[in-house]
Amino acid sequence: MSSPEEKTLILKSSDNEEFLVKESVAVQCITIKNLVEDGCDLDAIPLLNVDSKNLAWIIEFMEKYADSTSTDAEKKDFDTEFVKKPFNDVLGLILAANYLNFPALMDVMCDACANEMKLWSVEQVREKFHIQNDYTEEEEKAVRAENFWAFE
Amino acid sequence: MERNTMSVESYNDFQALPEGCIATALSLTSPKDACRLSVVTPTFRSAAESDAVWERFLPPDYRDIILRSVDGYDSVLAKFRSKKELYFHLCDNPIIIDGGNKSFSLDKGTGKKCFMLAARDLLIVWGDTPEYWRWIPYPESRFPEVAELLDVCWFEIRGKINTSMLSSGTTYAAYLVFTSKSGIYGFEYQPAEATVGISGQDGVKRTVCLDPDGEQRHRYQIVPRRIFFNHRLAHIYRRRGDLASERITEYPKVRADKWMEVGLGEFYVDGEQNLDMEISLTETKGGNWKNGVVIQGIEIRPKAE
Repeated sequence: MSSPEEKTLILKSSDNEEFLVKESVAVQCITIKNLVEDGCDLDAIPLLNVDSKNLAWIIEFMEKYADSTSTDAEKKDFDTEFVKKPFNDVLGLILAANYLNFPALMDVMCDACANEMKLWSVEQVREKFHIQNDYTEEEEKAVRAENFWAFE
Repeated sequence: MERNTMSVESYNDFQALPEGCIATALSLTSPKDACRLSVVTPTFRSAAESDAVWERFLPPDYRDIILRSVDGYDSVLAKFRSKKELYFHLCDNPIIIDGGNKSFSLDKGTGKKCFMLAARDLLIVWGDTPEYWRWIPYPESRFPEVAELLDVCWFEIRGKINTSMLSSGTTYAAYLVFTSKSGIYGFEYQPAEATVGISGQDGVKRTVCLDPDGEQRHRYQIVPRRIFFNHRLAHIYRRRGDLASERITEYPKVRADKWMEVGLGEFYVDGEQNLDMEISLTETKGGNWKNGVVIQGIEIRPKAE
């Protein structure tokens, strides 16, 4: 039995690096799936919001998840190793997964993010997320008071 | 292009995570953490308040349980504008289900399910004999009736719950929830025996004191030992104290709702099997008459960490 030729897509990162990925693998990203279904006939699909570092990782993840021979246990082991990255990279992958609309990657990266947040103080979360506290002093006091039980 | 989706070379540009992503991450923490982290920034707070987060914290079968409410599904759900409101309502306001036989609530920090089996849902030996037990309404009770012990020799109460009702991956503890109108008698020197186990199998036993003054009394008995050291009475005091106080592992405590509770035992729910757990409390060896206990029910809730 001959199988139909597997279509390969070219994904181009924001820094102009090109990656070859089988269509059946790439469509795990709903953004890419929609482009393909809408009949996108570009030579390469430009992913303006994903650099080559992140795209390489995402392709690694997509290929593992598209592999029908890998068991749930193997996927779990893969996930455990995959998320062992500096937190800035975890955040970068969440952003990329959001842009590409890739639910499986989003869940795994958000889970890793959640596991860190559980251990951090409010101040540490601000630091790690590189965000300013834009509460006023009164507002912060009020929110703390409202949630006092969560600090016990 | 929206600000949220502008190009990001690497996270060193410190692009803020969209609120939806923060919500997804928060929904994977815990109710306690989500509330704590709403202090980070107003965006975190908004994410932490979203229905997407609290839908995940509510037990997966919460709708099915609310369907069993005596007040009716719509009446319960109609009151709440958000899933967060519903969650916190269920933590602080147990709802009555199964025709008044049980109540359901949530453990605030974790969202795990808690139930109280009403006295009417329990097997109380001699419970139908009006000389021994009386069924009365009680103002501070969540259930229509409580069981008041008038007089028994044979004190035996049994409750049952299937683990499919409970949250998986949780150690649960069972408590007798009770009070008295004018004192509890007959348990001073005769502790009761609590057993928790899988139906049909031997359970784990513990010795339990139902006397609200029991802890005080047993502690106090040490003093007469010394005072009467050379007195013949010392022998009697020591014997009575030894028999009761040295075996007891649980004493009653006062709850936030002013009822008393005493721990009957624990069990782990793995979520893989559906097992009938049996919880019992008996005092049938002393032979003395007991009275005064007013039973609201048996509460089953996650063990405090």
